[in-house]
Amino acid sequence: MSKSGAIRALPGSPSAARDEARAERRSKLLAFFDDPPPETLAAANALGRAREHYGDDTDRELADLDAGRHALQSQRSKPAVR
Amino acid sequence: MLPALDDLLEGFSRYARRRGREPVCDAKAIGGALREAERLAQGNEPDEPVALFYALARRPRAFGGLQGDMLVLLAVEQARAVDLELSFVPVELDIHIIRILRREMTFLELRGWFAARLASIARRPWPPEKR
Repeated sequence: MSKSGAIRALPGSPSAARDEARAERRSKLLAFFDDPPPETLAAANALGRAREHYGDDTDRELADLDAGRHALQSQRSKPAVR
Repeated sequence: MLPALDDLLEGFSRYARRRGREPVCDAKAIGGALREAERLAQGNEPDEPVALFYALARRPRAFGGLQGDMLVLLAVEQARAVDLELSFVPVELDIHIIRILRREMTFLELRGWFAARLASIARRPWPPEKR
């Protein structure tokens, strides 16, 4: 145990490797959420609006899709998000 | 590697603030989704994006009013985390969500759809290095 009282994994130990992997994963995740790629963000916002609009009413949403009046269908001709 | 719950909640909180929204979510449901995703992926990293998407779609109130946003963002982010790129059209993902909510889509079916749209990417830094 260090003087500060924190428990640290021994360098090179399996738990140290796990800690390092988790720190790297956290860093990637937060960097992504701080600045998502613009195309992904646009797709996320569009789908988010649809989910908020319809909620659990999947019957109504499917009816709108069948009728071609669902807001996300206007994006159908755009290239796929990568 | 799937994200840890605390890290996921912090990412969500930052995203919600960026959108000018309160970071209202159901941490218990999100934790349950992470555990389910872990089980579904069975340690196979390329299956983690679909496992996370499926498990979260089954919990429609996990991220409150930002549920749809988070489903897209997390599927794409998890793919990147395992050096894959997901190609999709938003309406397709929305239809999958509807079918999952209606219990009309199994994990195996969705896994096949994702597998056909995930491609390897060269490892590159994100965010891009500033010059």
